[in-house]
Amino acid sequence: MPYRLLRFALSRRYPEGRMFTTHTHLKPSYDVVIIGGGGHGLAAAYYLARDHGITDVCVLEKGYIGGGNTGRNTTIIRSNYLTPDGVKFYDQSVRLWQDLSQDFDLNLFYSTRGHYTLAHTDASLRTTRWRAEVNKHYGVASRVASADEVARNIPMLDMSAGGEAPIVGALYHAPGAIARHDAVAWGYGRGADQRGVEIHQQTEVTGIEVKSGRISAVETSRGRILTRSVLCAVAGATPRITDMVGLKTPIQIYPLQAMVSEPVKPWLDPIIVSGSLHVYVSQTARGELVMGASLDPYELHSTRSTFDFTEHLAGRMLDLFPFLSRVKVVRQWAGMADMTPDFAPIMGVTPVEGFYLDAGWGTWGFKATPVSGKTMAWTLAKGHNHDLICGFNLARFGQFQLTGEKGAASVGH
Amino acid sequence: MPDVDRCTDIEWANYIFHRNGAAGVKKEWWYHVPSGVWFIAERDTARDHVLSTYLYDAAAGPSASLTSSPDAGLAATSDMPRPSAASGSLEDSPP
Repeated sequence: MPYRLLRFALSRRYPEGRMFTTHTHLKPSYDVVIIGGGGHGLAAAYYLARDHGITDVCVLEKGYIGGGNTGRNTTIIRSNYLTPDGVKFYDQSVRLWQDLSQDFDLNLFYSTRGHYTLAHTDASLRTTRWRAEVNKHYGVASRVASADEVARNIPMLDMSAGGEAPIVGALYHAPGAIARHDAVAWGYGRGADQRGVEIHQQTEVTGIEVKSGRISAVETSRGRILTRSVLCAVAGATPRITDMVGLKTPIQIYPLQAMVSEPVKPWLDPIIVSGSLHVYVSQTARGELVMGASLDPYELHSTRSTFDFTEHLAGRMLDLFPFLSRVKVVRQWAGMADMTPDFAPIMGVTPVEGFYLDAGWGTWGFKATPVSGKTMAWTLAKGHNHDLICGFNLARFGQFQLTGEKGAASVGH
Repeated sequence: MPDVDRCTDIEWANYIFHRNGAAGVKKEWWYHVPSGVWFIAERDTARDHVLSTYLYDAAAGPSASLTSSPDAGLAATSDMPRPSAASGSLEDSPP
């Protein structure tokens, strides 16, 4: 064994620092309080410090950073959305993702794989063409792929999809990618910490004080903080916080489950989504198949898993890839999704002055981590909504101006 | 429910879209597939426990059974180990 390694093992002081500073006390006040230490909250803290020089910021996390939906999603990154607002927004995100490992000096295992959304009916082929045209119009590389091309590029696929709804084509999105999900929380967290932001884990927000329609303080399990700006970035638990400031939203919480197989030899390069079977799958760098399906059918504030989810998803997976019948499912888990009526997020200023919302992320939040952090940081710094998020404001529901992303955001509807 | 003919557009939009999203005891419509019966369940959406189930009473009017606020006089009397014969077993009961 090399002598240096032995000396390192026996030494009391380690050259590799901790990822970020542990602060024993909360200060009596901060310029900005960010509720939620997930990817979005930490990204906002990072860009506030890096791009706007706002460093008197604390991030309050009830549990451990990235322990919420950031650590529970199926890591798919794409920008093949349906509406102009959506396409422009998610495209920005993909572009930010591509340089993120470099920015952080941390390997996020970002891997561009290509993404197929399989179409099994004429109606879904119509939506496929619609999405391809909107994407191309905004410079996003998506196109319609024929059934022959799909069969050629994914040879293990059963083109009859179990015999019920044969595959007739697909939306092929070349920039589709996967990444190591919780690593992005660590990357943003460390970057924010290095610039003076305080990250406080095991700190729960128990109340928010509003005086004359303006934020004045935040009550936590570790003390009271005076502040004039609060960013709520706790998708999956948003209503509990918005109730504290008396804000009404359309958000309803549903569990979203997922599961992963044992590692197998690499055989699946692209990410596969089936609109009709309501399932999706990708293969990680470790060879595991990460699989997901539609939302749970009813509201629930819990991350419990069910057997019928696994059974249903496995059945659909075998419709697409029959050769997987002996591969074992190793683990299943769930997150809680902030569902909105139009399958688009809720971002930006609210009627409560100083209270900013980054919520309504449903089943589409992970891919937006960099751009939501950047736009929310800009919005907080300037006090009004960034251009890219104007279509996502809470006020849109009152005006019946919904941003309809149901056709591109999710499966299983 | 706001008076459709007299309320403002914003009041109507808020009624359509905004809801109580926090965890709590909610009144929900459930459907028993084999018998085709619609019924109401009062369910604790944090623990996923059904507290009671009952049929909709048309005579009592919509306000009697269709509010979804958690504090609509719902003292949890007991957990519901077995649904009543009238309402049948719940579709998609959690394990």
